[in-house]
Amino acid sequence: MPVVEARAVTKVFRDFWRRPKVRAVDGLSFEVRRGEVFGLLGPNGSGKSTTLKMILGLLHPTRGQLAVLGRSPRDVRAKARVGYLPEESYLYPYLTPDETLDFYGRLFDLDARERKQRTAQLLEMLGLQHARRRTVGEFSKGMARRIGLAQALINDPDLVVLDEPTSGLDPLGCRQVKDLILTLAQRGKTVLVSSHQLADVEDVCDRVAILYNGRIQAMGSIPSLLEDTHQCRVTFPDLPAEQMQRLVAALRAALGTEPGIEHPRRDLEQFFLDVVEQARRAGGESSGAAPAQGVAAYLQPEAPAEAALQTLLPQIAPEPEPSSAAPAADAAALRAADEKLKQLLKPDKPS
Amino acid sequence: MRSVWAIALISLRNAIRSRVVVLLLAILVLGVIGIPLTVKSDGTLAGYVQILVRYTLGFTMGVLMLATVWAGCAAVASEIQRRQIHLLITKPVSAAQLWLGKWLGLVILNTVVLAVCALVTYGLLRWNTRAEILTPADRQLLAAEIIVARARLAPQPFAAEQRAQQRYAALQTRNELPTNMAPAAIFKALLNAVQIEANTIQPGGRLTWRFDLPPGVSATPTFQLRCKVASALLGPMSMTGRWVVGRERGGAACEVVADHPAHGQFSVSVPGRALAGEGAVRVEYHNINETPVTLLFDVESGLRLLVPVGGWVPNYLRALLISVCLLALIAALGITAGSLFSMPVAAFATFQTLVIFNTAGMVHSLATREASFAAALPGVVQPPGWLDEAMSWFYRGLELLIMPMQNDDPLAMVATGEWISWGDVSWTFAKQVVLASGVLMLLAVAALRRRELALPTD
Ligand SMILES: Nc1ncnc2c1ncn2[C@@H]1O[C@H](COP(=O)(O)OP(=O)(O)O)[C@@H](O)[C@H]1O
Ligand SMILES: [Mg+2]
Repeated sequence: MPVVEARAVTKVFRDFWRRPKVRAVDGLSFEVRRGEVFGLLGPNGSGKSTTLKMILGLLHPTRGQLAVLGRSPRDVRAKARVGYLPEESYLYPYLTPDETLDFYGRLFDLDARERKQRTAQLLEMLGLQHARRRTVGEFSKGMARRIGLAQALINDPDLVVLDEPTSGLDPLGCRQVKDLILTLAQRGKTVLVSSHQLADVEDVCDRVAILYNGRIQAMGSIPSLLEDTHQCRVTFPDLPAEQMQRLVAALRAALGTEPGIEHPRRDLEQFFLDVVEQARRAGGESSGAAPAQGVAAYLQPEAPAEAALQTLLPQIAPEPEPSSAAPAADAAALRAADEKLKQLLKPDKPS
Repeated sequence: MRSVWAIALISLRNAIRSRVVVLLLAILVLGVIGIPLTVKSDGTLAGYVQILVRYTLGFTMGVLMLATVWAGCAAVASEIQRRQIHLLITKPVSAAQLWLGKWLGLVILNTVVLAVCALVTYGLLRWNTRAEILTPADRQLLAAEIIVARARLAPQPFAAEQRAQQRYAALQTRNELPTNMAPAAIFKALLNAVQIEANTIQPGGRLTWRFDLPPGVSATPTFQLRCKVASALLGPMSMTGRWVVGRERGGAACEVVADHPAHGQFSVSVPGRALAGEGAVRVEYHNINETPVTLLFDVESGLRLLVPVGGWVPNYLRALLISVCLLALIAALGITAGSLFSMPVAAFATFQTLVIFNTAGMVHSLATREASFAAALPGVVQPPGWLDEAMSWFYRGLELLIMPMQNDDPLAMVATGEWISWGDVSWTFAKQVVLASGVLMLLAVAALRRRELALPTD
């Protein structure tokens, strides 16, 4: 049984007089299978959010059928196993992160001990421990987004629906969300994610559907969509000029055309992350702090070498907290954080 | 239940953070402090207690009602507007739990605020009527007639309708019915005559009433008869009457001879021992005035027996409970309106509904207009016009709808020392909280389940 099944789903928005206004989704059919990461890819206004809202029962399809975990999207039994991150922050601005997560935990009928434990672990995982006594209303967009992510995971959901999870996050945050999605998938969760950022989708999705104008334009696994079977790339270490010339000559002779040769480039994201990692390591050693919480480096929103980064990319990270020192990110800390994450998201929770 | 409480807590915090509600609560604090200081009473002790209990707490109720309408409407409507509802109803929370949580939050808020105001009021009352500053006479008055809870008992009814029907039948058999009057009008006139006769005392004559006592009547040195009379004497004249009061079985009747005004209302104090014994309480009035005067007791409320039932504080508590029921109903009304409409419309709809509720008296008279007289007549079949019939049904339906809002002002009752029974409390609870709020909740649940909550409302 697919986790999400949409058959010929159409959504027409009507105006006050019930006249059709916008056909936001038009005859959408797809299914999301258990344990896969499914991406809805499309430009702004292509109907991604509308589709997700219908899957969550926030909107009702005008035509067609939708089933979530084998039930109607409006069935509370289905909702109990779903986590949702909306495209914007709809949190109560006057609650602290602790109170926010506690509140949503109560809605899932979690007991007090469980709520406390999960809240602490989620905040630690998302690097918001230092801000747990501030109200969500004062948070930057990226920080609020992290709280949104945390509340989506508080019930250890089987299906996680993320509407543009990386919007508003800095590159570290993006990477972290993507890693989180991969971890969730490894733990057998199903993830449905929408995005207009192609890199995000490419990195994490098993399958994608490309939406345009409310219709699916292409759907399939990333390799099947992107593989160019008419070309081939060979990678080898850089050679001295004279050797290279011989190689090219041989290739030219074999192919009958001029082969394209260039140095492979790292992508900017990887480069960025490497720079940050180096800066953080340097800073961590000099400060000499040895934090005991063992949180992975990339989970920490504040990096000491931020000034250097600002020249590279627009800065949308949460404000750095002056109090905390940068933790050393050794392999053990990383493993500990991963362990915590696994514990938190362990598939068989007592119900 | 856990999620209901969680939502209740959030709705409470939301209400407290609403500027309108905070403003109203500030006005409330000013009022509770200001009203007893600024409003002049008539100088009597009873007048002071009236002002304190009735106007201060009445003002509190008024402010709480306004705040509740606003907070109730905003509870769901603004959550939809700010889209916080997206995160609520994607959780395993049913529409009923959502509604209940919001409602519970407001009921708790109202209860707490009302309790605080009631406590302050009670403290002021006790402090300003403390023994040291009262004259002995005032002290006694306070204990006997003001800080009391007295049941106001109506006498056993007598079969006025039946007697009027008998007379009508007699006239009919003798063929003496006036031909220029509608049967309903004739009957009404006969009923009037029967009732006036039954409440009239000729010079030297007497009149008897019987009262059933409720359970829980407390022992008392004196109790009161409250009378409303009219007579042929004009001006501020006074006349003398003799009262004989006693139980039907196993007690000794007490006799009281007292002067009383010949017009209007007055009270007569009777020794408490007249209540010893069993059976109904018999009250006789003997018209022993020196100059012969015919006395008429008011047909509707000529004689009431005031007997103490329990203390004033429990009565005060019951009045507050009834007030909480009303606030709970208004909260329900607001939340349901907020589930159906977006914000300014919801508040408008709620106020409109409250206005209609306040016309209940008019609706009642429209619903029961004349029709019953015609129906009671033997041998008279009056085919009413279908429009009349339809209107009558419409008003009866409307009356049924607004019936839950109908009750006497409980604060006025405690302020005048009138007893409120637990039966009144349960009845109010049943109709306002269980029935009316329940129906409103079902309405909201139906609406919330049909509505697409992610649609923008503005
Ligand atoms: N409540 C609404 N009323 C009318 N039109 C809407 C509403 N919500 C979305 N739309 C329209 O539906 C289309 C798809 O919107 P959406 O699903 O939010 O796109 P995406 O999430 O892919 O950016 C857009 O043209 C948008 O204007
Ligand atoms: Mg969107």
